[in-house]
Amino acid sequence: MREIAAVFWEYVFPENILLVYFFGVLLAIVETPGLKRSFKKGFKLSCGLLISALSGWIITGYISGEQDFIALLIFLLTSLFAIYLLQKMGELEGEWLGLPKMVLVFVPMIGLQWLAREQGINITDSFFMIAGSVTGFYMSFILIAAIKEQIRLAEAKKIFKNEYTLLLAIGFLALAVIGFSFI
Amino acid sequence: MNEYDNKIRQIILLALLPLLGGTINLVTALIIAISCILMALLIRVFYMILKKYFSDKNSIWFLLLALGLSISYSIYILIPVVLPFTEPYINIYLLLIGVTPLIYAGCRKIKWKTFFANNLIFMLIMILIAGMREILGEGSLLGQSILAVEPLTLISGPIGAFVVVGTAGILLEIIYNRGISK
Repeated sequence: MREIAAVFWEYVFPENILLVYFFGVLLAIVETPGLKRSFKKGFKLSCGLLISALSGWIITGYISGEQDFIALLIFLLTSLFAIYLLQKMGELEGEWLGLPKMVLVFVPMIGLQWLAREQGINITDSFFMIAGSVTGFYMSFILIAAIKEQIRLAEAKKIFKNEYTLLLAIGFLALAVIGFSFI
Repeated sequence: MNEYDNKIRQIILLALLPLLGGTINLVTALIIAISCILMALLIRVFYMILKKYFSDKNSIWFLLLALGLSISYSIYILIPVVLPFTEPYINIYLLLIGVTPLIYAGCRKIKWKTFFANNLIFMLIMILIAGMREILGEGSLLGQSILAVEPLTLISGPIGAFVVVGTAGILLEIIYNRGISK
Protein backbone atom coordinates (compact mmCIF):
# COMPACT_ATOMS: atom_id res chain seq x y z
CA MET A 1 0.00 0.00 0.00
CA ARG A 2 2.83 2.35 0.91
CA GLU A 3 4.53 1.65 -2.44
CA ILE A 4 1.34 2.42 -4.36
CA ALA A 5 0.93 5.69 -2.45
CA ALA A 6 4.56 6.53 -3.24
CA VAL A 7 3.98 5.97 -6.97
CA PHE A 8 0.82 8.11 -6.85
CA TRP A 9 2.47 11.05 -5.04
CA GLU A 10 5.55 10.84 -7.26
CA TYR A 11 3.36 11.35 -10.32
CA VAL A 12 1.27 14.11 -8.76
CA PHE A 13 4.08 16.69 -9.03
CA PRO A 14 7.78 15.74 -9.32
CA GLU A 15 7.30 13.17 -12.13
CA ASN A 16 3.94 14.35 -13.48
CA ILE A 17 3.80 13.33 -17.15
CA LEU A 18 1.47 16.19 -18.09
CA LEU A 19 3.72 18.82 -16.52
CA VAL A 20 7.28 17.50 -16.84
CA TYR A 21 6.73 16.80 -20.55
CA PHE A 22 4.72 20.05 -20.95
CA PHE A 23 1.70 18.26 -22.45
CA GLY A 24 -0.89 20.03 -20.30
CA VAL A 25 0.71 23.49 -20.16
CA LEU A 26 -1.00 25.11 -23.17
CA LEU A 27 -4.40 23.69 -22.20
CA ALA A 28 -4.02 25.07 -18.67
CA ILE A 29 -2.82 28.46 -19.91
CA VAL A 30 -5.63 28.90 -22.44
CA GLU A 31 -8.57 27.29 -20.67
CA THR A 32 -8.18 28.67 -17.13
CA PRO A 33 -10.96 31.17 -16.41
CA GLY A 34 -11.09 33.06 -13.09
CA LEU A 35 -10.03 31.16 -9.97
CA LYS A 36 -13.61 30.40 -8.84
CA ARG A 37 -14.69 28.86 -12.12
CA SER A 38 -11.46 26.94 -12.62
CA PHE A 39 -12.34 24.42 -9.87
CA LYS A 40 -15.27 23.10 -11.89
CA LYS A 41 -13.70 23.52 -15.32
CA GLY A 42 -10.44 21.88 -14.23
CA PHE A 43 -12.40 18.96 -12.78
CA LYS A 44 -14.25 18.41 -16.05
CA LEU A 45 -11.06 18.59 -18.12
CA SER A 46 -9.24 16.26 -15.70
CA CYS A 47 -12.12 13.77 -15.96
CA GLY A 48 -11.82 13.93 -19.75
CA LEU A 49 -8.09 13.26 -19.52
CA LEU A 50 -8.64 10.40 -17.10
CA ILE A 51 -11.33 8.78 -19.28
CA SER A 52 -9.19 8.96 -22.43
CA ALA A 53 -6.03 7.74 -20.66
CA LEU A 54 -7.72 4.84 -18.87
CA SER A 55 -9.72 3.68 -21.88
CA GLY A 56 -6.65 3.91 -24.14
CA TRP A 57 -4.55 2.07 -21.58
CA ILE A 58 -7.12 -0.73 -21.16
CA ILE A 59 -7.71 -1.23 -24.91
CA THR A 60 -4.04 -1.12 -25.92
CA GLY A 61 -3.26 -3.59 -23.13
CA TYR A 62 -4.53 -6.25 -25.54
CA ILE A 63 -2.21 -5.17 -28.36
CA SER A 64 1.35 -6.51 -28.68
CA GLY A 65 4.20 -4.08 -28.05
CA GLU A 66 5.23 -3.74 -31.71
CA GLN A 67 1.93 -2.43 -33.07
CA ASP A 68 2.54 1.20 -32.22
CA PHE A 69 0.56 2.67 -35.10
CA ILE A 70 -2.61 0.78 -34.14
CA ALA A 71 -2.11 1.95 -30.56
CA LEU A 72 -1.81 5.53 -31.80
CA LEU A 73 -5.08 5.22 -33.73
CA ILE A 74 -6.76 3.86 -30.61
CA PHE A 75 -5.41 6.83 -28.62
CA LEU A 76 -6.89 9.15 -31.24
CA LEU A 77 -10.28 7.43 -31.00
CA THR A 78 -10.33 7.42 -27.19
CA SER A 79 -9.37 11.12 -27.26
CA LEU A 80 -12.24 11.84 -29.66
CA PHE A 81 -14.61 9.99 -27.32
CA ALA A 82 -13.39 12.03 -24.32
CA ILE A 83 -13.73 15.25 -26.36
CA TYR A 84 -17.29 14.27 -27.28
CA LEU A 85 -18.09 13.83 -23.56
CA LEU A 86 -16.41 17.14 -22.68
CA GLN A 87 -18.38 18.96 -25.36
CA LYS A 88 -21.59 17.40 -24.01
CA MET A 89 -20.63 18.91 -20.63
CA GLY A 90 -20.27 22.31 -22.30
CA GLU A 91 -16.48 22.43 -22.51
CA LEU A 92 -14.10 23.00 -25.45
CA GLU A 93 -16.66 24.93 -27.43
CA GLY A 94 -15.82 27.86 -29.64
CA GLU A 95 -12.52 28.87 -31.13
CA TRP A 96 -9.09 29.91 -29.98
CA LEU A 97 -6.88 31.86 -32.41
CA GLY A 98 -9.10 30.72 -35.27
CA LEU A 99 -8.83 27.02 -34.43
CA PRO A 100 -11.47 24.85 -32.73
CA LYS A 101 -10.66 24.55 -29.01
CA MET A 102 -10.69 20.76 -29.16
CA VAL A 103 -7.28 20.93 -30.91
CA LEU A 104 -5.80 21.95 -27.54
CA VAL A 105 -6.60 18.70 -25.71
CA PHE A 106 -5.08 16.26 -28.17
CA VAL A 107 -1.54 16.93 -26.95
CA PRO A 108 -2.20 16.05 -23.26
CA MET A 109 -4.52 13.16 -24.14
CA ILE A 110 -2.33 11.44 -26.72
CA GLY A 111 0.94 12.33 -24.95
CA LEU A 112 -0.25 10.85 -21.64
CA GLN A 113 -1.52 7.66 -23.28
CA TRP A 114 1.64 7.22 -25.34
CA LEU A 115 4.00 7.63 -22.39
CA ALA A 116 1.85 5.46 -20.11
CA ARG A 117 2.14 2.70 -22.73
CA GLU A 118 5.85 3.32 -23.39
CA GLN A 119 6.88 3.23 -19.74
CA GLY A 120 5.44 -0.29 -19.52
CA ILE A 121 5.34 -0.64 -15.72
CA ASN A 122 2.95 -3.09 -14.06
CA ILE A 123 -0.85 -2.68 -14.10
CA THR A 124 -1.27 -1.20 -10.62
CA ASP A 125 1.61 1.25 -11.05
CA SER A 126 0.35 2.31 -14.50
CA PHE A 127 -3.09 3.02 -13.07
CA PHE A 128 -1.70 5.14 -10.24
CA MET A 129 0.72 6.84 -12.63
CA ILE A 130 -2.22 8.00 -14.78
CA ALA A 131 -4.32 8.92 -11.73
CA GLY A 132 -1.40 10.81 -10.15
CA SER A 133 -0.65 12.72 -13.37
CA VAL A 134 -4.29 13.76 -13.79
CA THR A 135 -4.55 14.81 -10.12
CA GLY A 136 -1.37 16.88 -10.50
CA PHE A 137 -2.81 18.45 -13.64
CA TYR A 138 -5.99 19.44 -11.75
CA MET A 139 -3.95 21.03 -8.95
CA SER A 140 -1.71 22.89 -11.38
CA PHE A 141 -4.78 24.03 -13.36
CA ILE A 142 -6.08 25.79 -10.26
CA LEU A 143 -2.63 27.12 -9.43
CA ILE A 144 -2.25 28.54 -12.94
CA ALA A 145 -5.72 30.14 -12.68
CA ALA A 146 -4.64 31.79 -9.41
CA ILE A 147 -1.36 33.06 -10.92
CA LYS A 148 -3.21 34.37 -13.99
CA GLU A 149 -5.60 36.27 -11.76
CA GLN A 150 -2.72 37.78 -9.79
CA ILE A 151 -0.96 38.81 -13.01
CA ARG A 152 -4.17 40.42 -14.24
CA LEU A 153 -4.60 42.38 -10.99
CA ALA A 154 -0.94 43.33 -10.52
CA GLU A 155 0.19 46.92 -10.93
CA ALA A 156 2.73 46.14 -13.61
CA LYS A 157 3.48 47.35 -17.13
CA LYS A 158 1.23 45.87 -19.81
CA ILE A 159 4.20 44.09 -21.36
CA PHE A 160 4.50 41.86 -18.29
CA LYS A 161 0.79 41.07 -18.08
CA ASN A 162 0.84 38.14 -20.46
CA GLU A 163 1.61 34.44 -20.81
CA TYR A 164 5.39 34.93 -20.65
CA THR A 165 5.22 36.04 -17.04
CA LEU A 166 3.01 33.03 -16.38
CA LEU A 167 5.63 30.73 -17.95
CA LEU A 168 8.33 32.28 -15.76
CA ALA A 169 6.13 31.82 -12.68
CA ILE A 170 5.52 28.15 -13.59
CA GLY A 171 9.27 27.68 -14.02
CA PHE A 172 10.02 29.10 -10.58
CA LEU A 173 7.22 27.02 -9.02
CA ALA A 174 8.72 23.90 -10.60
CA LEU A 175 12.06 24.91 -9.10
CA ALA A 176 10.40 25.04 -5.68
CA VAL A 177 8.89 21.55 -6.18
CA ILE A 178 12.34 20.17 -7.05
CA GLY A 179 13.78 21.97 -4.02
CA PHE A 180 11.22 20.32 -1.75
CA SER A 181 11.82 16.89 -3.26
CA PHE A 182 15.51 17.22 -2.31
CA ILE A 183 14.45 17.75 1.32
CA MET B 1 -4.15 38.60 -20.75
CA ASN B 2 -6.35 37.08 -23.41
CA GLU B 3 -5.70 39.69 -26.05
CA TYR B 4 -3.62 37.80 -28.55
CA ASP B 5 -2.81 41.01 -30.32
CA ASN B 6 0.58 40.38 -31.83
CA LYS B 7 1.83 37.81 -34.29
CA ILE B 8 4.89 36.66 -32.32
CA ARG B 9 2.77 35.99 -29.23
CA GLN B 10 0.31 33.98 -31.30
CA ILE B 11 3.10 31.89 -32.83
CA ILE B 12 4.73 31.23 -29.45
CA LEU B 13 1.42 30.05 -27.98
CA LEU B 14 0.45 27.92 -30.98
CA ALA B 15 3.87 26.26 -30.92
CA LEU B 16 4.32 26.16 -27.15
CA LEU B 17 4.88 22.38 -26.98
CA PRO B 18 7.75 22.21 -29.51
CA LEU B 19 9.20 25.41 -28.06
CA LEU B 20 9.29 23.97 -24.54
CA GLY B 21 10.10 20.35 -25.30
CA GLY B 22 11.84 20.40 -28.65
CA THR B 23 14.48 23.01 -27.88
CA ILE B 24 16.73 20.88 -25.68
CA ASN B 25 19.48 21.28 -28.31
CA LEU B 26 19.85 22.91 -31.71
CA VAL B 27 19.78 19.71 -33.81
CA THR B 28 16.52 18.49 -32.21
CA ALA B 29 15.03 21.96 -32.66
CA LEU B 30 15.98 22.05 -36.35
CA ILE B 31 14.52 18.57 -36.98
CA ILE B 32 11.28 19.50 -35.22
CA ALA B 33 11.04 22.95 -36.83
CA ILE B 34 11.59 21.64 -40.38
CA SER B 35 9.13 18.77 -39.81
CA CYS B 36 6.57 21.20 -38.40
CA ILE B 37 6.85 23.53 -41.39
CA LEU B 38 6.57 20.68 -43.91
CA MET B 39 3.58 19.26 -42.06
CA ALA B 40 1.89 22.66 -41.84
CA LEU B 41 2.32 22.98 -45.61
CA LEU B 42 0.85 19.51 -46.23
CA ILE B 43 -2.08 20.10 -43.89
CA ARG B 44 -2.87 23.45 -45.53
CA VAL B 45 -2.83 21.87 -49.00
CA PHE B 46 -5.04 18.98 -47.82
CA TYR B 47 -7.42 21.43 -46.16
CA MET B 48 -7.74 23.47 -49.34
CA ILE B 49 -8.54 20.31 -51.32
CA LEU B 50 -10.87 18.73 -48.75
CA LYS B 51 -12.90 21.75 -47.59
CA LYS B 52 -15.01 21.68 -50.77
CA TYR B 53 -16.27 18.19 -49.96
CA PHE B 54 -17.19 18.70 -46.29
CA SER B 55 -20.12 20.71 -45.09
CA ASP B 56 -19.63 19.71 -41.42
CA LYS B 57 -16.71 21.59 -39.82
CA ASN B 58 -16.03 18.96 -37.15
CA SER B 59 -15.57 16.07 -39.57
CA ILE B 60 -12.91 17.92 -41.54
CA TRP B 61 -11.01 18.68 -38.32
CA PHE B 62 -11.14 15.04 -37.20
CA LEU B 63 -9.87 13.97 -40.61
CA LEU B 64 -7.07 16.55 -40.56
CA LEU B 65 -6.01 15.50 -37.04
CA ALA B 66 -5.92 11.83 -38.01
CA LEU B 67 -3.93 12.76 -41.09
CA GLY B 68 -1.56 14.97 -39.10
CA LEU B 69 -0.93 12.29 -36.50
CA SER B 70 -0.32 9.64 -39.18
CA ILE B 71 2.18 11.87 -40.99
CA SER B 72 3.99 12.79 -37.77
CA TYR B 73 4.17 9.10 -36.79
CA SER B 74 5.69 8.31 -40.22
CA ILE B 75 8.26 11.11 -39.78
CA TYR B 76 9.02 9.85 -36.23
CA ILE B 77 9.71 6.36 -37.58
CA LEU B 78 11.42 7.32 -40.87
CA ILE B 79 13.86 10.07 -39.86
CA PRO B 80 16.15 7.81 -37.75
CA VAL B 81 16.12 5.22 -40.56
CA VAL B 82 16.89 7.68 -43.37
CA LEU B 83 19.30 9.83 -41.34
CA PRO B 84 20.83 7.51 -38.70
CA PHE B 85 22.91 10.31 -37.11
CA THR B 86 19.65 11.97 -35.97
CA GLU B 87 18.58 9.04 -33.76
CA PRO B 88 19.86 10.50 -30.45
CA TYR B 89 18.01 13.74 -31.20
CA ILE B 90 14.57 12.20 -31.81
CA ASN B 91 12.04 12.50 -28.98
CA ILE B 92 8.30 12.31 -28.37
CA TYR B 93 7.79 15.93 -29.44
CA LEU B 94 8.47 14.89 -33.03
CA LEU B 95 5.58 12.44 -32.79
CA LEU B 96 3.33 15.03 -31.17
CA ILE B 97 3.80 17.70 -33.85
CA GLY B 98 0.85 15.96 -35.50
CA VAL B 99 -1.39 17.41 -32.78
CA THR B 100 0.43 20.73 -32.27
CA PRO B 101 -1.97 23.66 -32.96
CA LEU B 102 0.62 25.51 -35.08
CA ILE B 103 0.46 23.04 -37.96
CA TYR B 104 -3.30 23.58 -38.21
CA ALA B 105 -3.00 27.36 -38.00
CA GLY B 106 -2.40 27.43 -41.77
CA CYS B 107 -6.02 26.30 -42.27
CA ARG B 108 -7.27 29.69 -41.12
CA LYS B 109 -8.14 32.34 -43.70
CA ILE B 110 -4.62 33.67 -44.22
CA LYS B 111 -2.59 34.44 -47.32
CA TRP B 112 0.29 32.19 -48.44
CA LYS B 113 2.69 35.07 -47.73
CA THR B 114 1.48 35.28 -44.10
CA PHE B 115 1.64 31.49 -43.79
CA PHE B 116 5.30 31.37 -44.84
CA ALA B 117 6.17 34.41 -42.72
CA ASN B 118 4.60 32.78 -39.62
CA ASN B 119 6.53 29.56 -40.18
CA LEU B 120 9.77 31.44 -40.74
CA ILE B 121 9.25 33.35 -37.48
CA PHE B 122 8.54 30.04 -35.72
CA MET B 123 11.78 28.54 -37.05
CA LEU B 124 13.81 31.58 -35.97
CA ILE B 125 12.31 31.47 -32.46
CA MET B 126 13.06 27.72 -32.24
CA ILE B 127 16.70 28.34 -33.26
CA LEU B 128 17.04 31.26 -30.81
CA ILE B 129 15.65 29.34 -27.84
CA ALA B 130 17.45 26.08 -28.64
CA GLY B 131 20.73 27.94 -29.13
CA MET B 132 20.34 29.70 -25.77
CA ARG B 133 19.45 26.46 -23.99
CA GLU B 134 22.27 24.44 -25.55
CA ILE B 135 24.95 27.06 -24.88
CA LEU B 136 23.85 27.82 -21.32
CA GLY B 137 22.78 24.31 -20.36
CA GLU B 138 25.42 22.15 -22.00
CA GLY B 139 28.15 24.62 -22.94
CA SER B 140 28.00 23.43 -26.56
CA LEU B 141 26.46 24.34 -29.90
CA LEU B 142 25.35 21.76 -32.51
CA GLY B 143 26.96 19.11 -30.32
CA GLN B 144 30.40 20.81 -30.40
CA SER B 145 31.73 21.91 -27.04
CA ILE B 146 32.36 25.68 -27.05
CA LEU B 147 32.63 26.44 -23.33
CA ALA B 148 34.93 24.81 -20.82
CA VAL B 149 32.12 24.55 -18.27
CA GLU B 150 28.34 24.13 -18.36
CA PRO B 151 27.22 27.54 -17.04
CA LEU B 152 23.64 26.66 -16.03
CA THR B 153 22.81 22.95 -16.26
CA LEU B 154 19.28 23.69 -14.99
CA ILE B 155 18.50 25.35 -18.34
CA SER B 156 18.57 21.97 -20.14
CA GLY B 157 15.72 20.64 -17.99
CA PRO B 158 11.98 21.45 -17.91
CA ILE B 159 12.50 24.41 -15.55
CA GLY B 160 15.00 25.94 -17.94
CA ALA B 161 12.53 25.53 -20.79
CA PHE B 162 9.89 27.60 -18.96
CA VAL B 163 12.40 30.26 -17.93
CA VAL B 164 14.07 30.58 -21.34
CA VAL B 165 10.80 30.62 -23.31
CA GLY B 166 9.33 33.15 -20.85
CA THR B 167 12.40 35.39 -20.99
CA ALA B 168 12.76 35.13 -24.78
CA GLY B 169 9.05 35.94 -25.11
CA ILE B 170 9.35 39.09 -23.02
CA LEU B 171 12.45 40.21 -24.99
CA LEU B 172 10.71 39.58 -28.32
CA GLU B 173 7.62 41.46 -27.09
CA ILE B 174 9.79 44.47 -26.18
CA ILE B 175 11.51 44.38 -29.59
CA TYR B 176 8.14 43.96 -31.39
CA ASN B 177 6.55 46.88 -29.49
CA ARG B 178 9.54 49.14 -30.22
CA GLY B 179 9.27 48.22 -33.90
CA ILE B 180 5.55 49.08 -33.91
CA SER B 181 6.04 52.42 -32.13
CA LYS B 182 8.78 53.46 -34.62
